Amino acid sequence: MTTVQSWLEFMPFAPVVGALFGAVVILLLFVAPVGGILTYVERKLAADFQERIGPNRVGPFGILQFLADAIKMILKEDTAPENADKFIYNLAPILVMMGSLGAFAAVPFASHIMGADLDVGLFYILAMGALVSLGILLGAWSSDNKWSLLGGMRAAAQIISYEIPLGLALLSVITISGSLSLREIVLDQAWVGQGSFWHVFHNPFVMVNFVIYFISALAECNRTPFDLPEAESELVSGFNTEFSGMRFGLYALAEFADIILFACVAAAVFFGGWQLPFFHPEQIFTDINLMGVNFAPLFVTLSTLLVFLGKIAFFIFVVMWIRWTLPRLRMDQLMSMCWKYLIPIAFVNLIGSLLWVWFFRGRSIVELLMGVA
Amino acid sequence: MSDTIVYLIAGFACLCAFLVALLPNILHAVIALIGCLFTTAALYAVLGADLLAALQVMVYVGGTIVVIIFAVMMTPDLYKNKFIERAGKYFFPTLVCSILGACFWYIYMQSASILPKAELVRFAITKKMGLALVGPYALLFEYVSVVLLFGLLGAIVIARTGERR
Repeated sequence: MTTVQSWLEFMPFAPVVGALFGAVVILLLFVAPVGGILTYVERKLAADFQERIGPNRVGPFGILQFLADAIKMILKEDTAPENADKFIYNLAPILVMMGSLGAFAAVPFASHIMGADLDVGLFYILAMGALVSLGILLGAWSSDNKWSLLGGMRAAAQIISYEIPLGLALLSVITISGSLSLREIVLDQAWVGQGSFWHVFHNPFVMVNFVIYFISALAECNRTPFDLPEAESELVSGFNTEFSGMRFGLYALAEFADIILFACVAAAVFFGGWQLPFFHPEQIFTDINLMGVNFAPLFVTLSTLLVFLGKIAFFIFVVMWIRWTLPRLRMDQLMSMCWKYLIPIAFVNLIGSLLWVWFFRGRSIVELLMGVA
Repeated sequence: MSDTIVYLIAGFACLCAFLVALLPNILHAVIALIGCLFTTAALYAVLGADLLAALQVMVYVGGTIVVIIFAVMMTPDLYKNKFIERAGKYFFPTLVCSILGACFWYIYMQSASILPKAELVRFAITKKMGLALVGPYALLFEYVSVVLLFGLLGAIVIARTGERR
């Protein structure tokens, strides 16, 4: 018996540790490189919007820039302010990262690629977002800096406020599909010749609610025009001013992870997840035999995964597009927009959507137009 | 195997609860409270109550704790004030907690033989709970929301008293 085997026998919960390890590896293999590449994409897109060239030194078209940035962040000195509350200062970036990465467990990337098909998947994703606001607030407070504290207060107020219209917008879809499980919500939008279509086209109220979802998601991710918590022209760098090296890197990565997450939820809840109308990979890849092995399921999974990733990429592009289009809101405008406009509109839409479901017995516009009984 | 995990999580929750009571710095105590609430949610999740776990994280960690942190941040001279200065102050809380713990232990010992052995069954309970809340328990559910509404309105009234038109 080798040492590893005896160790495994000694550890009664080795499978759990293995599963955790696997989850960590998959998440970091997905989120960290994609987040890194997104920093490059963001800079390149910004350059395009402003008619500049952008990063072009490291590798072909500067595509290795994100690797150089990562190495720089890891090698940088890790400093902390003298009067910082060291324990909380060290804990805060970890909390933010936990919240961002943990939520990915319930995201359905393809029909068989999801961490856990939770019964309360959507609710779980919203709940994990709580850790992000906590981490931002604690990090801001512990770094003993006025700019940080102002940024942290803004972030907490903003995230807590915009969670309400976000939840209400998602609630209208939940009432249509009758489930909180993201897998079931996606499968509910399957195009089978006749019948249901993407939830965003279910009825006009859901369409408006998707816009509300998108606005609230921008605010939840602290993206422009809601980037008050880290407004460079006002607050130096906001809540992460005092963080250096990889701790700052964790905050930046968590921000990109949040954008990916909200794009995933938008794709899965409103835009049919891994499905496209008139595209049935199960029928295209029926029988692909190579050396006696049927590769069809692999091709089906890969094609559905590509569809899902394509939808995410589109949403992320829109988010970056908005960044170079709209100016930043003022704090009072931000609050009045949430409480005076988004929340009432979301409530009206929720009730309208419920009435639609009740009146038309759950049929969508597409079904009504096609005359489905 | 799952027993071991349950006891590990429960032990960690207890440890965090002790830290909440014993840490001198209020904000550190709040962090320990986060750990305690989060591990309780993990306990619910391991025991199959997914909805309860998500609710625990959303309501307590996301809502209550953030409010507590806001309140703590407004405390002047956070590092000078010690939560508990004298050892004598430990006496009364310890007494109360021991009596409470003894009561719980007594109830558990009395009912352990009667209770059915808990089996980990995973089934879709969320839908049933949702339907129950708008079905047989609809009146209670609405009553609670009306109480919450009064609370919110009261808060607004208190906050607006200084304002003159």
